Amino acid sequence: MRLAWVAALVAGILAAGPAMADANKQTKGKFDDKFRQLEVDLPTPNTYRTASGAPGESYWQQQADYQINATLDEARKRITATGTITYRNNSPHVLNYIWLQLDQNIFKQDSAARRMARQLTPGPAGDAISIGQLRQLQSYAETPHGFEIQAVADGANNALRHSVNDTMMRVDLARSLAPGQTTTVRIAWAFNIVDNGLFGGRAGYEYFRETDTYTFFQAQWFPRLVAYTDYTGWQHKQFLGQGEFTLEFGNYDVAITVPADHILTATGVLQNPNDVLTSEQRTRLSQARRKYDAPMYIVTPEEALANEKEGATATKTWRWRAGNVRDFAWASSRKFIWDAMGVNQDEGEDVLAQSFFPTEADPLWSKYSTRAVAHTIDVYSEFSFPYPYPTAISVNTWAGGGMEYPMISFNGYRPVKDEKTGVKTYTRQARNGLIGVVIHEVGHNYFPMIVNSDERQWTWMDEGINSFLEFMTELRWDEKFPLLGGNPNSLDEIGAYMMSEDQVPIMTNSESVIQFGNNAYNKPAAALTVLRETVMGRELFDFAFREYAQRWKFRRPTPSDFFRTMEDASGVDLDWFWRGWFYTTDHVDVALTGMREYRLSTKNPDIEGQIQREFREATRPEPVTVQENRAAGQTTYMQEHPDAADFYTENDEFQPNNKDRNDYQTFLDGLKEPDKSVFERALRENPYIYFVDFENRGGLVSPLPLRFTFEDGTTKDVMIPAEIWRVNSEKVSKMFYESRKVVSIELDARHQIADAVRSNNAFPQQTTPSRLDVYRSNQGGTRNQMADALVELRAKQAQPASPAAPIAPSN
Amino acid sequence: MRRPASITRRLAVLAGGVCMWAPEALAHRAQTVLTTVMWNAGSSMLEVTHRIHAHDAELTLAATTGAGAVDITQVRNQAQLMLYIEKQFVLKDGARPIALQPLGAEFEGEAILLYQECRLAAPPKELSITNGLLRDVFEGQTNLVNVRLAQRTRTLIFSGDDGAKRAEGLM
Repeated sequence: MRLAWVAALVAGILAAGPAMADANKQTKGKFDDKFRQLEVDLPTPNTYRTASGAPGESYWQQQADYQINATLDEARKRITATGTITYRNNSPHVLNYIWLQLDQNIFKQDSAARRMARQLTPGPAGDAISIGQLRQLQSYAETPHGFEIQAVADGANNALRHSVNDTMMRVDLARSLAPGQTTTVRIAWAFNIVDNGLFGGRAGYEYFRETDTYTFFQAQWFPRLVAYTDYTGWQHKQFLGQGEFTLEFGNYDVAITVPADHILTATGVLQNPNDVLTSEQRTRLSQARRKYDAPMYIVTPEEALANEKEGATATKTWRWRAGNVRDFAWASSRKFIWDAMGVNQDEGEDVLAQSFFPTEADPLWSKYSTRAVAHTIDVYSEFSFPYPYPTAISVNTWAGGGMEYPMISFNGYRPVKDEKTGVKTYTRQARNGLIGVVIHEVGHNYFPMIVNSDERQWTWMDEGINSFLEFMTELRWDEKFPLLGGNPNSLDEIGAYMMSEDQVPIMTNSESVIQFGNNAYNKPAAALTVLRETVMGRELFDFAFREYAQRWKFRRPTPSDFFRTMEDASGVDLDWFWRGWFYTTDHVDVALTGMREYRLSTKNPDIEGQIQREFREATRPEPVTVQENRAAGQTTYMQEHPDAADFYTENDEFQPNNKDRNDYQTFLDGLKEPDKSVFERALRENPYIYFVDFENRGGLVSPLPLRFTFEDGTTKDVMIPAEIWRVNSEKVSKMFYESRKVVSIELDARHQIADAVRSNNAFPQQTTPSRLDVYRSNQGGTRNQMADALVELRAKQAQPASPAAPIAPSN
Repeated sequence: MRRPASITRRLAVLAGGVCMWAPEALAHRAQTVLTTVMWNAGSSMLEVTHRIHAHDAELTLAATTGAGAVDITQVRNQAQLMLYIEKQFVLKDGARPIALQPLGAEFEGEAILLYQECRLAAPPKELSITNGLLRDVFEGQTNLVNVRLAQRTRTLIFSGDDGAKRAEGLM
């Protein structure tokens, strides 16, 4: 998630020191203990969070309940609202003030995020301005943005002193709030809704110029309680755009007044359908709840199209309730098509999967959005817990991307309309984009909407874990679903990022992350895939992961709670894994550098002498000089003087003598049981013994999945655990005892460890062609159609052009 | 004539008249082009691969050429995209431009890969890169370029309004 002006903030931050300094250091030599225990670096367990990774006996979290009345002024693109927050202090601490999040303030012209924005390239080379920037600046001259806080009062309507600090507001309580007590704060506010097409962000409105119509999608639209936690007190990190939201659970009672012809959807359950839906719509909705195979329309495309052409001056109020959610979002428009279907859960209540979208999103959305919602619930629930809310909603709010809220998500991807024919078509990429974004955003209901991690601190805890589950869910949708870089195997793609020197560890605060998508989404997803499929195995991983999800369902976990639970519930020491994947920028590159084949020596000089003789002849051919001498008819002195021959002339150095034979007999006589039987059996079996050398060039220790190919063409897979690197994390050798001759060994044949350099993964070494080499060879002798097209296009472009220089001095 | 206290220059907007798409609200797919610049010692080639989300490529061509719906599976549109890349992505060794030759394009999943190459006697010593791919169309566009000429990989990040960047510490 990012905003245009915030994306720039972190791009130049390249240096990130070690996550934290270890108390223990190797002060002599270069030994780097990749397996040193993580416990010394994790927070000390306490009664809130245990050493097992579970919530402790004194675990607490605050509760914030909201009652809100809001009105959308469609003409002025403005929300006005009043709300009552009931805040329960479950902490053991006395609170004299509370903090509220005013995230809408990031759009203020003088917000910290905007003031921090800078030209990325210092000096004249970076002097540039875009049309988008100009449009924003012009927009501010006409419409201010950010919250207008009109009143703050206590439950008795006595004004409360308050102070706004950028995207946060401190409200000073009239009386200290003791542990276990509840306080009430009443607030009146308003704000001008941002044009999402102009300002970006996670909410706003979209204007459809062609039909002069709008969709409204509101989030971060009311003052929300800042989280108060056992590990950081008030979460005092301002909203700068990248680190998302840290929130408290609560119950919501929300009434929203909109134009009467709008269809409105929101977090929660509609309380007054008779007031706002037609009889036909209510009937269809009731049918959809029991329709489990495919979605059906509540508002058809034709009805939506007719509706958007009208307009209403009257209003309707939609009333919603949502229990135990950490946020509330909604969307409203007269453009919405609405479809829905039921999702049956084996271990939970039925869920209503729904989608709301304008005609511009069809036919793509009718076909896939709601089905993807239902599929997400099926798969994510397997990995975690039954979906606990009554509905899951996907709303089309923009052309691309997505954003998650409890029960509701705002998603992109639309077909493209041909300007000339008016025909709408969608590509395979748009289809996959829609399915992927719906799975991802609906999946966020589990992480972080229910497993309520601290997004402002650790993006990976929701985005990374969610991307991992998204990938698992996508491959359950279609085995060839492109996960990352178009590849259904994300582990093949992550290496390019992990090799770069310009990255920071996953365990980096959200606002300091560089290469945000790779760091917080893709790398943790790859890590968990390696953990599941290679390091732990599915049985151990799935049990431990489910345990984590269930322990922290409707609670707030920290990274250490995740790390500890995964070990606690699996019985696997994963400290090396967390340390390598999450606390460093190492990558996986294991090289298979050598393989030596041996047979057991019989020690019998008559047998071994002959073997050594044959080996010598096979490995040391006759010198060319000797061959050429013979070819020239030359003879040697010894051939000409047979009388000079002696014992050594007749017997080479491999010919055993009596001493050798006596020594062999002495060895046999000295063998006692059980050694004698072992030796004799080994001679009978006559095994092949291999010593294989590995080098860890990427730094990240990894298991070694090996595939042996035997002389008879069969193969055998062997998994060497990562602990082989425990004493020496740079070079190791391993012995293999085989009954058949091995002709080759391949490391990571199934592409399951994210090895970034595959050219050193085989013995005998195999050359790995570059991608361009492969492309060139695949083209073969076929005619290069692109070259032909380029010739034609270049000829067309040969007309004189006058490209404007970016900067033109006027003086 | 009195010398002015400060000199006012004229600044042209970056979009060049093209209507820019809004910055996306992305909690999902990043608006990114990933480019790899690699030295192939075996063939003495500097090899460049651009990985562009095909949907973004179609929107880009639609915006920059004024066409309606663009089907990027058509070879002619891929060639058009290659011409766009030649304009927006520039490599230099010191001050000397590196004349990348188009090799072709293919699809991998949801991405289109476009290949360029240049035969050189040796890897460039002072490689600088200008990368304006899709940044004239998507305001929130961030591009990554992984450069690997020998053993080390460096990543250059292009976003906002930044211009040419040097790839340093590669050998």
